[in-house]
Amino acid sequence: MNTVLTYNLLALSLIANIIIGLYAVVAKPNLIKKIIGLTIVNDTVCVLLVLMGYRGIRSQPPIYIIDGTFSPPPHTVDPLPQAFVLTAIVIGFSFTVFLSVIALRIYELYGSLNLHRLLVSEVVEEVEPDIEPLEE
Amino acid sequence: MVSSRLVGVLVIVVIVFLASVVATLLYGDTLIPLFNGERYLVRMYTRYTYNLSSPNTSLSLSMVNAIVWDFRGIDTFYETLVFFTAVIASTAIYYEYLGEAVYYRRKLSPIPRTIHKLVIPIGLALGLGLAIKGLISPGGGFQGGVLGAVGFYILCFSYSLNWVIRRGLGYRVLALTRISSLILMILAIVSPVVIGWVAGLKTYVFQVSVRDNVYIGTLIYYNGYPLSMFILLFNLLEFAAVFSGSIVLLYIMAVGGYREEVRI
Repeated sequence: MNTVLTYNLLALSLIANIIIGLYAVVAKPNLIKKIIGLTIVNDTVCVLLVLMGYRGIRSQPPIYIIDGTFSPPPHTVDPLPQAFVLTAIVIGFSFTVFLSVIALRIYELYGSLNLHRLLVSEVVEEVEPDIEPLEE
Repeated sequence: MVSSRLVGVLVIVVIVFLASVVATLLYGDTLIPLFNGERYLVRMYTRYTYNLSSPNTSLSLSMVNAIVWDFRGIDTFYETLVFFTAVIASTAIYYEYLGEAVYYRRKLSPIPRTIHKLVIPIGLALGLGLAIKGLISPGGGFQGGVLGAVGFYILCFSYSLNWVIRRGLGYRVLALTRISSLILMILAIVSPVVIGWVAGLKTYVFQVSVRDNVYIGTLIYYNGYPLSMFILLFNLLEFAAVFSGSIVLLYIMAVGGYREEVRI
């Protein structure tokens, strides 16, 4: 029972982590916080995928034992999600790197990473030309 | 005075714990079904990975390695290309400043520098070891390259970026390393295929072991078993590419945001 509880606690914690990451992406106006939220979601999904190949408390890594017989471990985990997740980690890393550089450039150009402020300043620029003829 | 954020975190922790207790009591089993080892694909890969009685075996001790190279080799190459694209796109944004920037010059005190003198070679050696052993054990060029770059990052923070660049690791050298590694990688992939096509023979590229009746490819012997040297070569080139790409990213991060301050 304790093992099942621990496993369920881990699974629900990961789901809560995904919700927190999505909340950061949707609700936080700061671009860096959005990137952090995306990273949290990405990494949590990776862990969730690896968890699907878990075999309980007796799990062993999917590596052959060098003991003369070269037999596979008796309770080896599913190696497929691990192989898939490798690619996802690299893609996520590349994605985060590029987003970070874009955010850095936005900060240089506009002096802020707050999305609300950036959008408002853009709207003001668009509205001003329409107002000027009316004042004349 | 307990801050509202701490209270929020505690509330989330308690909710998750209570939810897992309730789910366990009501459901009585794991929410995500445990893997029972009966999946057909897993059985196939397990038998394929290290099976000396079969001609079609990967001869790799790690099942993940067998899957990554023998079944998903092109994916592995493409993921390196994605990282390349990210580095090139990031470089394109700051290209005009990278050549002329004067970087931070301040060094740390002698005590951390002495410690880092001992730590940095270990990081580089571990990274290179991961790349070399990635043929048959967990690891590979990407992981090795990133680990080596972490060692190099410590060097940059300890001795200053200016110190490192003055010793020959400037942006242009790293860009040349990155691009030449990528070209060599593509040549290593394409050349056996072209040679085999011209000679009318079977070839192997993204394979850990050597198949029967396949003659074109390079060999390396490990524990008396013939393994493909292509993956060793690929891992080393990927190590060089990722290592130099990661350092370029550090230079970009150093230039961005503080450009006015670092330029003299």
